[in-house]
Amino acid sequence: MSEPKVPDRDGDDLAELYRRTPQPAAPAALGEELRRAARDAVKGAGRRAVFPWRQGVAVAVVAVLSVSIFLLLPRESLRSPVQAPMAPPAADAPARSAEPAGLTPPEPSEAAREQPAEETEAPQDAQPAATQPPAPAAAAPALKSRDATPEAADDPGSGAPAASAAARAVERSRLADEAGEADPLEESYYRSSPELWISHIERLLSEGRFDESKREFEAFRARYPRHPYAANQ
Amino acid sequence: MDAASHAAERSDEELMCAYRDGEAAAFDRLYSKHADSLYRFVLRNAGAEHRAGELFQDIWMRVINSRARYVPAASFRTWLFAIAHNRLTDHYRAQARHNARIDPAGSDLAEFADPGPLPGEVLHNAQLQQALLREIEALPRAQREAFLLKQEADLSLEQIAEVVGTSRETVKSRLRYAMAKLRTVLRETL
Repeated sequence: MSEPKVPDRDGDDLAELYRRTPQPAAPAALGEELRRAARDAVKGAGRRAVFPWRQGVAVAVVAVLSVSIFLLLPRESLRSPVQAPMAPPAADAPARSAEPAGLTPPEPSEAAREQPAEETEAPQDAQPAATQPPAPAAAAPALKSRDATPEAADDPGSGAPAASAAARAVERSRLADEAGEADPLEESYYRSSPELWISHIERLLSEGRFDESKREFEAFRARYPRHPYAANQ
Repeated sequence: MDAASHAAERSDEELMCAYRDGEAAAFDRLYSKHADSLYRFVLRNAGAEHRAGELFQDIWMRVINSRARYVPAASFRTWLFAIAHNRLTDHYRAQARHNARIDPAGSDLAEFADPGPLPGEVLHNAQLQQALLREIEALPRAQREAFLLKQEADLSLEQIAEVVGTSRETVKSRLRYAMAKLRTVLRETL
């Protein structure tokens, strides 16, 4: 009877025994999934690497188009609307907005015409036509141009600060006065809110135009009888 | 020369660098070479097949996701099993019940004096083979990991030390104690 084979003591015996144990392999399904994930990861990185190149082309195309449009557009259309009042008025421009309401052909509807003047907030308010002299036709284009500014488009009720709106109204009124004209649009503008109207009245008072201020105040009190300003004066 | 045959001639590190640079076929080759041994390493550390499958998949996903940071400073196999070691460490931390198996300082090792090599006939004993697997699973974690890294990954003492983050002497000691314990238990089984 031969002696049993004795492996060396470095663990070869255990290693040999271990190698003879069942050696499960990695599940094939996992392998397929991992290989697919590895391929997708590489493809994803490739897409990410390509994306900046496409993005760069898109930015370049947009830049070229923007420059082309800028060069093709007429210079006048590129001018800022704020600069419009500085442009010289066209001599033959229609002066419709500066025309007194009484001289303007009746365009409003019948209901609008029959509405009392104090309750009408439309630009064609009847009262200015009766109280203000007709505006010179030469000043009309300039006023129309001024009305075309963004300031004129501001809605007092749109949330703009009342103080700045009042300041603009006073400035408009002052400019109109300097032009020696009556501007029904300006009047209707300051009458569009109590604050603007009060500012206008105060300005008339400060300038010593008591008759006009009184007329405005009476009109204001008729429109806003419960307003504190109407009650305190 | 096609990509598959070219991939077969390259080292693991070259394959991993190729995969890092976008060659998907290089990953296939790496997976084919190391999947089974890594799976067994994970299976015999984690115990259950379903858990091993999840860990195994997670380890390879870490390889895939960290490919951009791969630098061939060490061998790919060392890097791969270091990822596996770290993932298993996380796994054990999540499962507090396994903490008791972690060998604190090898204090339980002294009671196992190495009885010497096993007789040759045990190699063909299927019952002993199963007993060996059971005893491997019963080893303290550090010893089991050192033993499996030696047997499955075929790493040197220095590489095992690098994987588990300890010294070569500590690894050598863990291996010696693990084999002594296995031999003792297997002799008792005979």
